[in-house]
Amino acid sequence: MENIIEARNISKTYERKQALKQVNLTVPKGSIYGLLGPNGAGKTTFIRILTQIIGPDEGEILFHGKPLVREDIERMGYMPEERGLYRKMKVGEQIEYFARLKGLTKAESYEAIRYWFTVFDIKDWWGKKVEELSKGMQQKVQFIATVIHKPEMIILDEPFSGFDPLNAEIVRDEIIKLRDNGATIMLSTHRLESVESLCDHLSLINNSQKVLEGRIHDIRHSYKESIFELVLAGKEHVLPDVSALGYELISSVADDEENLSLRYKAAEGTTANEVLQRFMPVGNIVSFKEVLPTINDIFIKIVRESAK
Amino acid sequence: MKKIQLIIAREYITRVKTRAFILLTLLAPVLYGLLIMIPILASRSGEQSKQIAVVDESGIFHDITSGDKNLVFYNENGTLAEAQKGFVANKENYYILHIPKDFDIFNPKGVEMFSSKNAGIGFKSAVDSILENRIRDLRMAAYHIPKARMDSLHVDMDIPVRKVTEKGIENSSSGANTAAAFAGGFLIYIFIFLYGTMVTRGVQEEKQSRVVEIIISSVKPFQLMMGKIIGIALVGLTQFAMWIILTMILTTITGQLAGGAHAAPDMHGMHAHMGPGAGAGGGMAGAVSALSTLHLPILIALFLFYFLAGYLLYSSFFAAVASAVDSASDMSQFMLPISLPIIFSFAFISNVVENPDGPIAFWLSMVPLTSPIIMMARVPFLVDSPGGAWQIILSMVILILSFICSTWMAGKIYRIGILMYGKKTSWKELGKWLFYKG
Repeated sequence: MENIIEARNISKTYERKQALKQVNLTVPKGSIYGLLGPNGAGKTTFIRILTQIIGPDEGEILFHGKPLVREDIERMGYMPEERGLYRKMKVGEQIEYFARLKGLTKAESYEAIRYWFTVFDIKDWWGKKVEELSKGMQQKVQFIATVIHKPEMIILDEPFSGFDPLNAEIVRDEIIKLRDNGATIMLSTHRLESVESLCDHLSLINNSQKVLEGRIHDIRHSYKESIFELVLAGKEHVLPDVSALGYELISSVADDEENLSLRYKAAEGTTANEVLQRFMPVGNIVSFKEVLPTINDIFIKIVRESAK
Repeated sequence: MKKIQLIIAREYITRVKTRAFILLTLLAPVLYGLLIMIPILASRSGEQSKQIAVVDESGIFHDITSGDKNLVFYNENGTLAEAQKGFVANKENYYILHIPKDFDIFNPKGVEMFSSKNAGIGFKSAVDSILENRIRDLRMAAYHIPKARMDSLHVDMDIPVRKVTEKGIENSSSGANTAAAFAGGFLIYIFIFLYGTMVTRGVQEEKQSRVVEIIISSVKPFQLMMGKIIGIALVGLTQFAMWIILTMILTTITGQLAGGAHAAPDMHGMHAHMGPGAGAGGGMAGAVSALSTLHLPILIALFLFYFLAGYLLYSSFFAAVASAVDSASDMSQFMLPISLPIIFSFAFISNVVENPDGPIAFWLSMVPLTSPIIMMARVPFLVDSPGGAWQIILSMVILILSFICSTWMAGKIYRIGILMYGKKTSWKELGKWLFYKG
C-alpha cells in the first residue's frame, strides 16, 4: 500500500522538555489512522510539525514519498484540538475565508460551501454570525472549514471532544465517507475506545516516543493472550479438567438467559478448534470466540511496562 | 503573496464595515466642524437681548452703554431692594448691576450683579470689560490724559518674518509652522495609539478565540501578523483620507457661514471667549495665505511616511506582546513600557516646536522610537531650512531600518507566542523566543 506520510526520526525539544524523540511513523494512503497517547505525550507537537506550524529539530517528513514542502499545506486539512472561529464574522464569509486561504477560488469555495451546507442541513446559516451559534453548531462549521478544500490528508486533533453524542455520530459518519472518497484521515485522541472501531491503523505515542504502530487487527492479534470465551446453554454443567493442558479458568458467570459464560486462558499457541473440541461434549455451545485485547488494554500494558 | 492579500482584505473589510469605524470616520470631522460652528451659531442665535438694570448709588455709571443692542443698560432710579422685586415677576434675562454709594474708581470694590439665573461667563466678562473700560476712561480723565493720546499708546505689532534662502527672500509664517508642527505631532500620536490598539486587539482576539492555529495551518505566522498590520494600516489611511475630504467640505461650508457671521454685529467682550471660530471668517484669507507658505504636499507626504513607519514600528511591538499574553489584563504590564516613548515624545512636542533646531529636537527626531512624533513636529521648520533635508532623510532611513528589524523580531516572538497558552510570560521569555528555531 502506498504511504501518504512517512515521518523519519522526528525529534523536537522545547526549552527543557523533549516533546518528540526519534519518532518514525508511516501513514498508509486511504487509511483512518489513529494517533494515540496520553495527554502530553507529544501528539499535538507531531501534528503541528506535520501541518508545518512548527519545524522539527531533527528528522524529515515525506508526503507522497517526497520531502514535505510549503505548498503541500493546501492538500491538508487540519482541525486543532483548541478550535476557534472569528466570532463577529458571518458563517459563510468565514468558511469562504478559510477555503481561499487553502487556495480555492471564490467560485470554488461557494460551491463547496453550498455542498456542505446541504450535507449538514444548515442552508440558512450563511448570514449568521458565529456568536449566534451554539457550541455544537460551531463545531459543525469548524468541521466544514477543515474539509472544505477537499484535502487528501485530513488531520483531526481530538475530533470528538466538545461534540454531543449526536454530532459526534454525524462527524464519525462523515469521516468514514471522506475516507471512502479517497482521503486519508489522521485523528489524534487520548480516548482510545472512541477510535477503536473507526481506525484501521494506529500508533501509540508515550513519553515522546512511538511505542507501537500498525494495523489495528495485527496489533490486537499480536497481543492476544489465548483467551477464549464460550457460552453454554443451561447453568449447571460438569466442566472438564483442563488444567493439565495449561488452561486456566478466568471467570464463570451465569447470565440472565440461563446461560453459563466461561472464560479460559489457554496455553500459548492453543487454537480455537482445540478448545472447541474439549468443550463440545459438555453441552450446547451457544457462542464461542477468541477474546482479543482492546487497544485500551494493550495501551495500559505497554505504559505500565515502560514505567517499570 | 496571494494569501497575505486575503488576510489584508479580511482585516481591512471587517474593520471598515463596523459601525464604530463608520461613525468615527463621519463624526470626527462633524465634531470638529461643530466645534467651530457652535460658537458662531451661538453668537448668531444669541439674539435675546439682556436687560441690565443699573442701580447706581454713586452716580458715576448713569450713562453707561454697551454699544451692543443685545446688552442694554438702563437706569433704575429706585433702591436695590425695589429693583430686586423685578425678579418676582420672573423676567427672563433680567439683571441688576449695583454700584455702591462710596464707589471709588481707584479702589473699585463693592460692585455687585444680581441675576434670576446663572449668568454665563461670556456675559459676565462682557460686563466686566465694559466697566473696566469705563473706569479706565475715568482714571485717565482724573490724570488729565486726553483720550486721543491714550488711544495712540495702543500698539499692535505683527512682524513679518522673511526667510533668506538660496532662492531669495521668501515669506514664512512661524505661526502656521507652529500650528502645523503641533497638528502633525499630535495626529501621529493619536494614530499610532488608535491603530496600534487595533492590532493588539486583533491579535488577542485570534489567540483567545483559538482561531489562530487554523489560520497558521494555511499561512505562515509572519504572513498573518503582517497581513493584520498592513490591513489595519490601510484602515488608518482610509480614515485619514476620509477625514481630509470631509474636513475640506465642512470647512468650506463653515467658512462661508463664518463669513456671514462676521458681518453680524460683534458682541463686545465676548469675542475673546469664542476662540478661533469667531475670527474664522476674517482670518480665513490670512490662514489660506499662511498655509501657502507651508509646503503642504511635502508635509502630507512626510506625515503619511511617519505615520506608516511609526505605526509599523510600534504595531510590530504591540503584535509581539499581544501574541505572548493570554489575557487583556496581563497585557497592561507590557503595554506601558512600550507606550512610554510615545507618551514621552508627545510631552516633548512643545519643547521641540519652541526650539526646532536644538539638540533635544535633533536627537529625538533621530531615535526611531520618538522620531515619528518629534520629526513630524520639526518638519514644518525643517523643509526649507538648509541641512533640513538630510536630517529628514537620515531620520527616515533609521526609521525604515528600525521597523524592518522590529517586524523581524516581532515575527519571531509572535510565532511562538500565539501557540503558548496558560503560561505567564516575562520579558526574559520573549527574549529567548527570538532565538528559537523552526
